[in-house]
Amino acid sequence: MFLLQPCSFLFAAIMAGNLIELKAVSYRYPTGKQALTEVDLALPEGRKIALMGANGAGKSTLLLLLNGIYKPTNGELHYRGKQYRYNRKALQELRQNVGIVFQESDNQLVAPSVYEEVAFGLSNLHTDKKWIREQVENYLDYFDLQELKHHSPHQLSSGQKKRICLASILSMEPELIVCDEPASNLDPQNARLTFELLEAQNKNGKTLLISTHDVNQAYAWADLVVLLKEGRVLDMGSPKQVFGNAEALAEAGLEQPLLVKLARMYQPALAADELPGNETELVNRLTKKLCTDL
Amino acid sequence: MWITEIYKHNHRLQQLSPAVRALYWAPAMVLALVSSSVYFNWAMFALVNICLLEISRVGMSNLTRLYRIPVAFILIGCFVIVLEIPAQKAFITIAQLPIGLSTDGLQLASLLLSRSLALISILYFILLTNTISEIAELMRKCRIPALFIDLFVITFKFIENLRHTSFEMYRAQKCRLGYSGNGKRIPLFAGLMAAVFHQSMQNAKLLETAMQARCAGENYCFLQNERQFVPSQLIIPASFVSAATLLLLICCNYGW
Repeated sequence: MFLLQPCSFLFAAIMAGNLIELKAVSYRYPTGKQALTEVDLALPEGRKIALMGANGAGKSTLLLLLNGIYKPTNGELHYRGKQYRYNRKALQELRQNVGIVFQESDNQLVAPSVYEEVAFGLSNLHTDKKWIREQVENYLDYFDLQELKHHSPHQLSSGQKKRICLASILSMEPELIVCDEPASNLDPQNARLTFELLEAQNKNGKTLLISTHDVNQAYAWADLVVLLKEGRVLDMGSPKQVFGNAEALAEAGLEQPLLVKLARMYQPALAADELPGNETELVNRLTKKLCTDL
Repeated sequence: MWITEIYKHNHRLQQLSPAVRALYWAPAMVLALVSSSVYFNWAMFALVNICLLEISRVGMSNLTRLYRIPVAFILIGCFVIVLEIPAQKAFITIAQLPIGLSTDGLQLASLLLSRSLALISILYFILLTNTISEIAELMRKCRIPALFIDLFVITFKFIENLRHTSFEMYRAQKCRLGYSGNGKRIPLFAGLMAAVFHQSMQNAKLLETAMQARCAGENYCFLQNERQFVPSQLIIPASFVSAATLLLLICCNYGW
């Protein structure tokens, strides 16, 4: 099964180009509300990207633009260098390549059983029922959903619902997986499990884009952070660069991650590149400083 | 009480295809429709309910609760048929108007009650042994126009959405001491209805967006688990149909 194949893609990811590019993209809702203004953004292939911003910053709108649900009022979107087209065939292809997992699982679950839910996207794309069934069985195994396959998805727990939504999207084999608040409504264990599943997809070469408010999670997880404010890109870069910039974070209505706060407590002038990458690194530094002081 | 709340995914017909399952209920429905025998209808009602308890794995109390609303409506209808105004043999006189029971009305009402209950029990059998997508699949096999099937599925989804939203909102109102005073009930209920419709429309739109994101086209495509067909699966429904037909013939023969 392709999901379990070992894949060393790191080099390829570094060398790869941009999967999606947004060029001066603006979007205005039919109600007149301006959601995005002149957004220039490039999503590099094979990377883990965190889209951050306060409520109403335009994160969810941006995700729906990537999937072709919304059409920009101005600007262009490019997928692998080709401009988005909004005819039926092109949209089918685009939506297969850009899978989106919605924040509220209940708004995504449509079928009366888990099996049919996982098969839903595949049935819309392909006609070979035998192949679809094989694919569904593979993903039910992978997401540990075999025992639940005849259950109604609406009667399951939030963590199980999220796994079903992920399985349903991943079974379509998208190149870019877009998740709107993947850990919302989940307990810490299920949130960790969801991120582990996403991490495994990234190791298999998939590009991940998540929208989140959790600065601690984004700092530890992402390769690239995009900061949005009122429909504009405020800052973009590595987690250390973005989260090291306290002013930009405050402007976006977010706080610094705990690790950054702690590191800056004992070294206020610490440069962004010198920030600790994880808890272990911070503890080591503090221990070293303590030993030196003693 | 909603059917989706008590539906058991592990019912005994789960391994059969919806077409084979239809052999359990379709002949029963035809026989109940053509029968004019009260005894046959009651026998059918009893038999279908026994089968339901055994096959659908739904508890007796839940099944009984399902009948409360339809029985209430049928009884009111039957009561109207049974009454005779002005009656030849009155049992009560109101404002010089003799009210009594009509013999013909009693016969008609008993036939109506028995037939309605037999048909409702068969309807519950369908709903408790098939999911909505299985019913849609069966309709597709019966060459029912796609537009009608889509409307059927959309209506079902919308009602379910409405139910879920209204339940959540009603609970939220109750938690804030809503419906506690007599004067507040009607305005609160009106507010609830408006909010429920607004929220349900929004939820339906979100669901549609999520379906579009997974390349949903004009027709709903649900792929069910593959089910093997073996001729032995026909033995039980064939026996059931034979027994029911025989019973109907006996009832007709003896004029019951």
